[in-house]
Amino acid sequence: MIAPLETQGISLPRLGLGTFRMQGAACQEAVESALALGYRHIDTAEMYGNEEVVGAAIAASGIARSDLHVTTKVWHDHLASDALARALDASLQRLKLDHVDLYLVHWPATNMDMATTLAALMRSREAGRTRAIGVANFTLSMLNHAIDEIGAPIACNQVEYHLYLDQTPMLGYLRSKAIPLIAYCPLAQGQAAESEDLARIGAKHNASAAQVALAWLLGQEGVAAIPKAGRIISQRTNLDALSLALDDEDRQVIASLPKRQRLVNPPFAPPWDKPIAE
Amino acid sequence: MYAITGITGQVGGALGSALLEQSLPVRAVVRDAGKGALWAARGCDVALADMNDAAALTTAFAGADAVFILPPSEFDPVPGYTQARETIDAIVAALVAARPERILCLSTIGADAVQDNLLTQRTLIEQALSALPIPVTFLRAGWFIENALWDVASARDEGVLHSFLMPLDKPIAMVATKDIGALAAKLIQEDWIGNRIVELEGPRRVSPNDLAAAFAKALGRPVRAEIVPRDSWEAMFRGQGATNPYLRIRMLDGFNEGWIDFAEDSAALRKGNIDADTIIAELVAREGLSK
Repeated sequence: MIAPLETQGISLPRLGLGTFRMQGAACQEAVESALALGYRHIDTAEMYGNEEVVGAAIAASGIARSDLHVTTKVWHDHLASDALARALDASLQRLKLDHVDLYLVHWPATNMDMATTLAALMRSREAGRTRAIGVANFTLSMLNHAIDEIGAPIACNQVEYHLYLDQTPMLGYLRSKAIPLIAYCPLAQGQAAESEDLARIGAKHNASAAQVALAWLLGQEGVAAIPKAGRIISQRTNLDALSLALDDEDRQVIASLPKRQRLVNPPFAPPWDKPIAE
Repeated sequence: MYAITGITGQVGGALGSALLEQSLPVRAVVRDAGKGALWAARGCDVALADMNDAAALTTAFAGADAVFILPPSEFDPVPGYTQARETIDAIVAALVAARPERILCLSTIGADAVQDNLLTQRTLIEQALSALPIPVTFLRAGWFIENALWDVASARDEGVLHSFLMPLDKPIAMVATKDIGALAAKLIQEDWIGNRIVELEGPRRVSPNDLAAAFAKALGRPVRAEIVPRDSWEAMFRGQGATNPYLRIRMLDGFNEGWIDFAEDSAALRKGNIDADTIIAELVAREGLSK
């Protein structure tokens, strides 16, 4: 097992369970089985509409709270000071937890007042409602504003990252600050599993294409990944990817894949950083 | 005997035809006799029933090995889904009374979403039928490729596909209605226990740009996709007569924001055979070439 990432006072397990679009009893079962298999990092959000069942699964697991990392996120219409505090209270109530480990701004909003939102996040940390604060879907200029200008103790930026989307400039910046990048959509919404290049690499290591995609991320400095996995079999194969080590030849093949495929780009997304020249 | 509702529509029709081709007994459940005439001529038993009429539906479902439920589509539901709930109540009452051995219900991608949107009506019928003591399969189909019928005129006349789906390169789980009918014909003949969900999308995901390219190929002229700005939707939908456009807007948000989609590692997901190019070519051949 790879060591967790230490950031702003928390230990972030490298592999987490993403729960977007997982609902109801199916979601609860998935979180319960993940926890039973050894996952200790669960990622949810107020927008997912599943915090109650995630909380129920955590309660049922009997795992000590201190052994578990839980992330939730504030939706972009709750970024004003009072709204953010209320949103976190509501999330905690649904999760039946007295604190989360990481509370993230889910998406930046065009009209957000960065300083006010970050101040509200810091107050929630001081109040013990979250152990660390972070952001998601922030661009380099937004991070620059939040970290270098405002000085917020940002513990991560959670962004789309997989072998078909380059994040080199983002990783360069985050590494210079020792801040982890949490990769969502790490399997490129199932496309990784269909790649023949990856299947060939996998065959060499007795692994699947999807495991190669995940191992490629988890082998990078300062990167954690949160693949969604509703089925026990995919939860297990994702865990097994933690012990898969790729070699330079593998990484060269992966480096040659097209790198501009952004899969998550809702209408409210910020203007993304320019991709690297190809 | 298979009792088929919605048989005058695309999916129900494909299902009915597939069953008849296999010489299986079909009862067409239709609202009026005129609509049943074609199916009667093809050798179907015809039962008249409105989807809100529990008594007529009970008679229509009586003696069926399996019933295919195609919930009526309401594109402008009233808040609280009163009409959808009335229809669901009638369907449930009829199924309980007629006790077919199995039920196949057409549902949709996004039926598992918790956000209120146009597809919530399917969430409600899934919940209602799941509680019945009869085995039910929910066939959750992707976005119908045939929805592109509405784009034929503008693609042909302006070379533009006006897209509510965005960004234009985002691939969406779409499926041809014939693929749905073909899978439905298989599923309805199967035996299963309890409730199950089957998801269906086409062989490849389709972006608005892909649809435009398919139109260009079929029409032999350049066609490009253009985004219809979200802030113009409400006025546009109201102009088209919608009194509650919010639910349709939220459904489109769901596709664009990704909360309406099939799970990546879903064990329930199956893929059809018919691609968007084929369907667009058919739509253009049917509607498009002559003005």
